[in-house]
Amino acid sequence: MNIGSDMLIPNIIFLSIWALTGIGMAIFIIYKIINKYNNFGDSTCTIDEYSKYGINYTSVEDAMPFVERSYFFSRYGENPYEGVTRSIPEPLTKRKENDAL
Amino acid sequence: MAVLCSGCSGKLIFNPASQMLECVVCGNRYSPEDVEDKSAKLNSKYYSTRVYTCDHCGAEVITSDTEASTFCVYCGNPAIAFSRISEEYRPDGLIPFKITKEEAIKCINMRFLKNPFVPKEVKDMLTPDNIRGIYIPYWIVNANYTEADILSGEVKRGKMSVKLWYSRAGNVELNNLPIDGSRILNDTVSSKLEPFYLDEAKEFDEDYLNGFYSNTSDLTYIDLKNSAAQRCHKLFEEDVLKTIKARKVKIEDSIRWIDIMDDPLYMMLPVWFFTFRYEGKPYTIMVTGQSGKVVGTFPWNIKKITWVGIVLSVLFMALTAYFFIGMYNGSLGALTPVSTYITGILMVIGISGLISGWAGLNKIRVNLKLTQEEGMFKFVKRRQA
Repeated sequence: MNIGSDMLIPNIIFLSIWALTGIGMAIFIIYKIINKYNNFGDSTCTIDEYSKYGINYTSVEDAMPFVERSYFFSRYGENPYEGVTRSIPEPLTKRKENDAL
Repeated sequence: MAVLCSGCSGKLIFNPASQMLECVVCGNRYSPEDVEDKSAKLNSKYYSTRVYTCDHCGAEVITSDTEASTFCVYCGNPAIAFSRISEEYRPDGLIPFKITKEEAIKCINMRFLKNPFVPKEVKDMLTPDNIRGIYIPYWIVNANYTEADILSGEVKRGKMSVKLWYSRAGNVELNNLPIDGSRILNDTVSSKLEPFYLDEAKEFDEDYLNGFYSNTSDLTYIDLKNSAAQRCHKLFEEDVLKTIKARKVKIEDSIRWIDIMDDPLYMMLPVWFFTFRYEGKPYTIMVTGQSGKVVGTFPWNIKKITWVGIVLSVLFMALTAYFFIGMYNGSLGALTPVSTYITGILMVIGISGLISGWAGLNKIRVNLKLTQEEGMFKFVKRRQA
């Protein structure tokens, strides 16, 4: 085997790649095993679950000029529900606790 | 308070399998609708409960007097003490437990326990004693929601990547959106429990609570509005992001309004909690008591993972070494063109495995943190909206 000083750097690179390949494959296999049993975020409800008609888009603009951004909120920045009053259920007005003892 | 068997005066517990109240002494069965609780005030806005307080996390757990609390269902700490009898607001309805404790254990087993990296001591802790059924308070709201967003994304123009701006504005009408009414439960976690099927809901009857814990809503109207707005925003955002064909799409600026319709419903929804401690950290896995959906992630045995990692690495290194030795034409530095080519391929596979595996493991670690007490049950929820 020729491990002379002229081949030292290529050999180090080769050995590093060799090690990284092994470690990389090991980490990938471990990730695949753990991910199979990872449950969080498996399924979440989309907007269709709660809305019959989905979003009614009033503005859809692609590749909008940068300067238009400031105008956008002046056009769509008003509260559409302003002035609407709603009755508030009693349990939400204040946490009720009538201690019997 | 608890109702008693008319035959032997034994305590009655609700059995999810039969959907009946069963006497713990003589086994007599009663329909919850047919049993009359003489201590309950007729048409009262309130019902009586026993409140336990956890000295560790401060959570309050409510039980009927058929169930004594021995540890906190939220953080797993045994420092829980009977606090008082309290009168709580009567919910409008509830979905009774449909999945039994044994079925909940089966669901967890099927989902996680085949994972070779789950520590044995955690597997051993999955016993009926460590699982508690708890009714979580939810507000079921109908709402109108409006949002206007400025977004950015990257698209390819030749060899260059260009940042583009997008705008989306719209409104949506949402029906029967469940918003958890407990400050203890993290909103991210509670939304994972969905969907709940409200067509199986019953009018509230405290007899259904027998044998289970419950919690009551501690939100104000502003809290509910903020939570609902945040939930609507998540749903809106998911839909909006799908409409843009670009990479790295994100909302840069956003403005939102919500109008919650009158009379949101106050409901109790059933969840099984498996709470345990591992290496000093608390974990909670939840199973919906209606559909058996499991939410949570188990901790890993790091020592086992390290050993498996080392063995696999050595194995792959040995395999590649064996392969390369076969390809050599005599000296370490002199690779044949074929072996140089294979070196390149292996390098790409190895490095991509390293990057994607590491990124994936980090993502799972974030999920694991959500399962831990600090992430999952913040006593005061951070409501961002």
